[in-house]
Amino acid sequence: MTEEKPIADSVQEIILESISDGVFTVDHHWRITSFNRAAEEITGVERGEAIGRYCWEVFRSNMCEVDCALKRTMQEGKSFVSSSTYIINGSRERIPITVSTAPLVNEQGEILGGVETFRDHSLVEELRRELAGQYQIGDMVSRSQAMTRILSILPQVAESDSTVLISGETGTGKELLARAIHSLSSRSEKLFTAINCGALPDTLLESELFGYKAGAFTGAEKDKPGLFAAAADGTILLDEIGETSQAFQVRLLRVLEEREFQPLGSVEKIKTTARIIAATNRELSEMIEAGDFRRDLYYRINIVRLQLPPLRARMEDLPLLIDRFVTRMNTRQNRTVSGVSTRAMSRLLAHDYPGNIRELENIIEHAFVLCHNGEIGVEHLPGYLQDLPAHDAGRVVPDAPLQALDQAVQSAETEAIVAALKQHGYNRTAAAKSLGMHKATLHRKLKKLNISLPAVDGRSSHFNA
Amino acid sequence: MRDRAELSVAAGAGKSDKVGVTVWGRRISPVFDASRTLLIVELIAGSPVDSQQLRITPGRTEEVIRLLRECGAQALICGAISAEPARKIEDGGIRLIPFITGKTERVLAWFGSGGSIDGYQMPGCHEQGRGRSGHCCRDGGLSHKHGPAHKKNS
Repeated sequence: MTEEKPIADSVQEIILESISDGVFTVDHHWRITSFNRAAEEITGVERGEAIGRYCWEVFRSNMCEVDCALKRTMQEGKSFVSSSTYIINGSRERIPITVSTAPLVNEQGEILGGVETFRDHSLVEELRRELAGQYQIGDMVSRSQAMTRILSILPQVAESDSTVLISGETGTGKELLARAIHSLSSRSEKLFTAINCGALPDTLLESELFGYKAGAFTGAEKDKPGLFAAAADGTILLDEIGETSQAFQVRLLRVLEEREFQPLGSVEKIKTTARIIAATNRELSEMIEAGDFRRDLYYRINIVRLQLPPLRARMEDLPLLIDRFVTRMNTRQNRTVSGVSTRAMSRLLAHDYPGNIRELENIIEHAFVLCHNGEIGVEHLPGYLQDLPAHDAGRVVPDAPLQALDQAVQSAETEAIVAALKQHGYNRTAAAKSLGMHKATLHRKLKKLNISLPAVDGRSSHFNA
Repeated sequence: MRDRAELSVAAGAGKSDKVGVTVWGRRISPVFDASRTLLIVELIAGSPVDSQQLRITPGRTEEVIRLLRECGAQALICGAISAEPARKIEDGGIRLIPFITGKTERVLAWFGSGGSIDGYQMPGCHEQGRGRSGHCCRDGGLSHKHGPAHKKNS
């Protein structure tokens, strides 16, 4: 006859099994001693496998190595809560979680080990994104209309297998978009490879793309397969296609039309099924008129065209992008930077980002050099952003004299108003509301502070549409 | 790219091979995405003969790929890894052996000998040979002769 458990123990077990939070306990050797049903579901590890294993083998959190909350709890006998962490499950998915830890103490007050409770925040994150109107594909995230239009058609573009031309200023994320197309396509299991056509002279570019046979030129001691051969059924991104020579353009056109290529020094042609994505920061139609780009190649690659907007045309994405970069830098550098101060944000919103998203990322990386925790302030921004009034940021001005108090107040007011206007696409009613003032007050202040507005009318059309 | 069985054959023939391992002290780092140390190990005839420890920045997968290439390492052994860095590593032509756990020394001995992966896989990783289909480990299904039978790592 089996020994029955005391009722209290059974009830505790039922409760532990029915809650949606994952719970596990460890002993002093970090071996898992209990593991509830929710923990099984969230981690994807069955209880039988988890019990007796080291907690880091099962839990697999980014905190395990450097900032283990359970370790701190065991050392200090105190509870800890960690809000922004993740675990990796067996399907290679990052699961955002919150964690709380407590010492496991017996009736005599002895610490037997530790207990960790964790909650899956995937749904919360998803809902947060939806509420924020975000659209996310791969590494690309946006809430702007211009980007949402692109991202929403991306699955169809990926499925089509047609050649795609991605255009956009430098730093707008052309390679990220190409990667997203590849990962959404049926070729996602195959190789994605990118080559910067502008960085290589013709002969080197051809040998990189098409490969060569031994003896094709001095130093070619053995056969080398090119990217077309390596990519096989994968995707090749030809970046900076506008920088290639006319001679190369002819050869590329032939490959695209005949779907075969000839390695240097070879007499045989090899079939290719790789998908081609071309990218450029130049206006190819203008280059055709100037005789710098072949019209026939342009029409061959311009089957589906995706035009990435510059960052200044999607400024509503700025807080989202900043948030993403701050999170990424925190992970990389083991920091606890919480975000960007209002004043710093107003500087960032007033800048026009000629280097686009790459420039913004560099600005945040710069700020991380000076700011180790708390908020990124104006003083942490690069000099060209912090020396200037917000509405003039990005433009070169001579050293300004020290401002008197009233001037400083006016300057701060100007910053806040310009930032609010930009944030709301120059819709004055919305800007006034966000500033906590009446529309008429905003009009008075615009006049008093001599703030000139662009021709765009925020009431009838969206600033970034 | 050669798989691990082929690497072992090459190593057995006295040829030098290099492998990268993300480590945490004397163990395999539990999470590649948060790992800070990359160990490059040279193996001859399946035995480690030289190693080099390098600092890496979590989240910078391209940096890891560059270091592996510079050192001539053809494979990376690591702990849990999320889809994005895993894809980058595999796209970079590096053989990925993920969701491995245990003491580095023992894992390397396993790798060099071509023994069974059992006992070195993290719990919850039974989807062997699934590769890019998204599950843990791709290195199962090889012909293994020996190795601990799903032991608890020490």
